[in-house]
Amino acid sequence: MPESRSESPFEAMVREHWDAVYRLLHSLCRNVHDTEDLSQETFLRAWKRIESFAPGTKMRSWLLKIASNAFLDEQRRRKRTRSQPLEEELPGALAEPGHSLDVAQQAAAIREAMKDLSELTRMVFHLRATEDLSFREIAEVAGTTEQAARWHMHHARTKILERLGNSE
Amino acid sequence: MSCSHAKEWILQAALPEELAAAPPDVAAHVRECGQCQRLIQKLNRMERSWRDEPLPESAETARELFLSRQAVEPSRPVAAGPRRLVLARWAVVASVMLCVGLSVFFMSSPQTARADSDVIERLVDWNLELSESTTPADRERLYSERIESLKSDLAKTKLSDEDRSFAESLLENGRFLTSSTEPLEEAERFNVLADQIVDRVNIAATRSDAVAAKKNANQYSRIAATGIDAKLERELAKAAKIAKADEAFKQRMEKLEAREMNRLKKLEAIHKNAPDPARKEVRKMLDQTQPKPKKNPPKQAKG
Repeated sequence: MPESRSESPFEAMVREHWDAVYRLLHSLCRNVHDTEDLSQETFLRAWKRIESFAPGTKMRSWLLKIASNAFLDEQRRRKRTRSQPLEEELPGALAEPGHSLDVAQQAAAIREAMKDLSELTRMVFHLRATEDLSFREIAEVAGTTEQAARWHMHHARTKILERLGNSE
Repeated sequence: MSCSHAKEWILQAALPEELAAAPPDVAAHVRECGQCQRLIQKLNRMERSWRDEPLPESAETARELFLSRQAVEPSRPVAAGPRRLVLARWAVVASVMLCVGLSVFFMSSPQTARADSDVIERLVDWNLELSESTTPADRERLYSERIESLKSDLAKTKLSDEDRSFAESLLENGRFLTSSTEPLEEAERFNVLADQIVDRVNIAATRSDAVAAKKNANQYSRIAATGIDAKLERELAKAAKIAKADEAFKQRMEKLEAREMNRLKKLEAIHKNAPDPARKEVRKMLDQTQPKPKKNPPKQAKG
């Protein structure tokens, strides 16, 4: 009889938070290749400094902060070395069969609008819409203030509404 | 209460949970106004459709592959390559930002005090975004989109004389960035802002104000990294590539470096006298200001 392998703490952390980390990075990088690299980088960094994680606080927020730092580091590195910027993949790559057309169209319009937003604004919108974090938590993840995070959300919503208005 | 006032509140609220805690005039307006209710519904639908976006199919495969490569558990992962060396420097920035995040969390200062620094934070963000926009059209757009709200918030906010002077410099720098096409000139302008921040840190250290020191250290890191270092390195690489470092270029680079050295000395002096909590922040700024090894020194043109 095969022996069932128990999950290591590292594996448990990856399994529980992979999707959230991946989703944030995909909204920032907008391509699968860099998203995968940086997701792995995030979990390796997190594991390396796991002692600095304060028990009782949200591990997901902690990981998302590490992910956003990993993205910003990579972006700066590419700017400095003048290597290829983080490239966007073809639109519609996320379309899924059975996904309602209305929802898919709306998501496509949001993706389009997101192109015109800064990374910080995209990050704030994504964390609020997807992770349901409070603006205080978002400010911690994004390295800004609560009021500035609200302002970025205002800006993102305004821009996306404009885009949706044009596409409707 | 007009729709436009309610809309301003709605667009920056955490929906739906903050609706219950909306200011009474906003809540009363929203209850009666079909247009505002439709806006809230539209925002909810919009955010739900973003949340419901499926992950790319390869996400799961990538996770399994990653886990299988790590075997049961990575034993304190080893550096993944040369990228780590670059990342080490940025770890300083990350730690400063973490400190700032935590300080915001623990700060119990009144709302007005937080709003004051928010205007400056937003001005710094705006300057860096402008400086990272590559085309004049993008900069123009970014400038005109934000300038009015920034100016009006600045006019409404109570600031100390030194904060207001710094905010005015950031506004002025934003205007300059829309007309600039020269990275070196931009680095020179950001150098002036970095000097102003050092003065602000000095004031914070004198007052033993660790929170202000942290905020300034965070702003300094971002301006030094994005506004100065990135541009200088790009220009150096460009000059090395075309092997044409003319006298004027070299003089400007030397001037920039001399200014950085002066700042370094000033920071060292502040560090020596600063009380404990502020000293830690000044130490980080010092680390960031240390002369960097030049990877691609420009070659002197022959002849």
